Amino acid sequence: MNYLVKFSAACTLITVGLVAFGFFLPEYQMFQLGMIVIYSLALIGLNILMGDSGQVSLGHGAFFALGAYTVAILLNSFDTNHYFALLITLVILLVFGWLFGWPALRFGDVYLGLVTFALAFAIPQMLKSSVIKNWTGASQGIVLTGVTSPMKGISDEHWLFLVTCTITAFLWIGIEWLRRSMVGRNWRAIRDDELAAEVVGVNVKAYKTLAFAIASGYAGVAGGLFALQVEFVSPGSFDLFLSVGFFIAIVMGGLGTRFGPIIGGILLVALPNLAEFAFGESPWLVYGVSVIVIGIFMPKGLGSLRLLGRRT
Amino acid sequence: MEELLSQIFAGLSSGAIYACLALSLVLIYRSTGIVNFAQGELSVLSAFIALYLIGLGLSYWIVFGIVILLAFMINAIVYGVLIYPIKDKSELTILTVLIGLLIVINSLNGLIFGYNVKAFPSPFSHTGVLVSGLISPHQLGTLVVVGSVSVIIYGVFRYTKVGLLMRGSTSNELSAKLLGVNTNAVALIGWGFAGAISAVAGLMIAPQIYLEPNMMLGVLIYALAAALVGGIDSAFGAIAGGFLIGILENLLGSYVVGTELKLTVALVAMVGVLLVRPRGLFGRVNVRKV
Repeated sequence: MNYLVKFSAACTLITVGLVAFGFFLPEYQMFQLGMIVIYSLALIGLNILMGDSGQVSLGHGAFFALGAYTVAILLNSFDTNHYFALLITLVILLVFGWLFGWPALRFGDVYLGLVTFALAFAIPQMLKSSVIKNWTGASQGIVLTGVTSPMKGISDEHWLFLVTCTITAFLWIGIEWLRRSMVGRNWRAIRDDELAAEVVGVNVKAYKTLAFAIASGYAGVAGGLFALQVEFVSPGSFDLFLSVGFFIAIVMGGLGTRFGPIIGGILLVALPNLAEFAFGESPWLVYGVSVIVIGIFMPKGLGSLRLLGRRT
Repeated sequence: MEELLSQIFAGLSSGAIYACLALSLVLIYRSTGIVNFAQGELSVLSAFIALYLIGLGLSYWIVFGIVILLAFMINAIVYGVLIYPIKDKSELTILTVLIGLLIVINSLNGLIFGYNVKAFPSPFSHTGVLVSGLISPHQLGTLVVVGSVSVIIYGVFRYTKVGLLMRGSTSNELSAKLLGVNTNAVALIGWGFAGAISAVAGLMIAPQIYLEPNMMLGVLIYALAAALVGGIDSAFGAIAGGFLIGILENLLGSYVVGTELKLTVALVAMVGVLLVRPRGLFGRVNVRKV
């Protein structure tokens, strides 16, 4: 059977299983599981940018934050439907990513890293700005109402979990199809040798920008789901360390691997708890040391381990 | 007018600090082709060590000397132990390790010295006469210290053998190697100098914005902006860029966009200059061999 059909079927099965599993979990555990799925979705986008097209972003949290705020503002100030807000967010962030990426990609890897790093640092400050206070609530943030379940037997939280998993599954399957198509091959050609790709006729700039836009759009949807799950957004939730966390998670999870983003998502949620449990301290020291070790000795991350299947 | 001048002086003084950190970034870039994201954290570490030593009762300038020597050694060790083994690997690997290093030093600072905000002494607070109230003694002192550091670095590069070796091995590493220059030792010294300079930046900024583990993150962004605006491979550009960013930040911050959006100014300056002159205002244009 065709790989993609198999992958899609497996992904659907996993989603159904996960949602069913969620129904037996207590609320807090399901919340955490939901966070894993949301972070994984953001990392699936980052994986396209860093793993496939070979660019660097230290500012993925900025797009996550913009997505969360877009959903919150749409719900709060424009009273839109929740699902419509998510769709709009995807479109807005795709466009924003394209517009930001188009000039930024001229800079080359190191510069792109620097600019996205600065963006990640500047975004919380911009969100606090009094100019847009009526929409963003400045440093107080926005409290929003989450989704309500359309069915009697399903609680609101479970319904949101179902929605989160479904959207993530769709976007994951979609990206896997894209990665296996000419688009994905062109991305990897650019990653492996930009000049060679250009010479054989790949529109390097367009493909790089496309990767940037997709990464931004996926982060935006993930951020929107985050806003719906937490029902509150504020500048403080999206500091520089969120972006650094995304970067570390995708590198540790495995750049350019299928399951790297999922492993990364699990790490982002599990590591802080583990570190606190083991040392009673913040997880950052553990993150830092492990990312150095993995960076040096296992450049392809945990997702490259053989038992998780072959690398694509 | 008075206020405008005083804003410009404030801009010059914070610009001097951005210039300082930017200079250390440029030194590292020149000697190894790496942009060291973790450099600001070494400044914080230096400031914490200095505060500890001052607490022991040592006089400020002795501590200043000790800390700068320490920072030189720490940064050289970081290069030797962490960066040297991976220097030929991909950019992404190096970046990953540097981000890891940033987090490790940042959280170690927090673990060892605590997260509460600390006041940091300035050696210039008792020097008496103000320049007609336009500039505080600490700001003036900062300018003098950073100015002397730049002159020393310039002197070392221009007139000493070490400087000659450094310039030689960065302008053409292979031929320097063939002539018997130990380029690795040169890179080690470059990192050491960068460490010393970033320690100066840390000790000068700490009295102004208070000492805490995340003190330098914002400063690092300004310094990165300064280095990019000036051209990441130009020491003169870093200094000019630092002053430029400092003044822009203060003037736009107080008259145009408000203090809330100061960082955005740095971001916009960075992107703007990169769009118009990708190698920065004073950077060399690199010709890529096909």
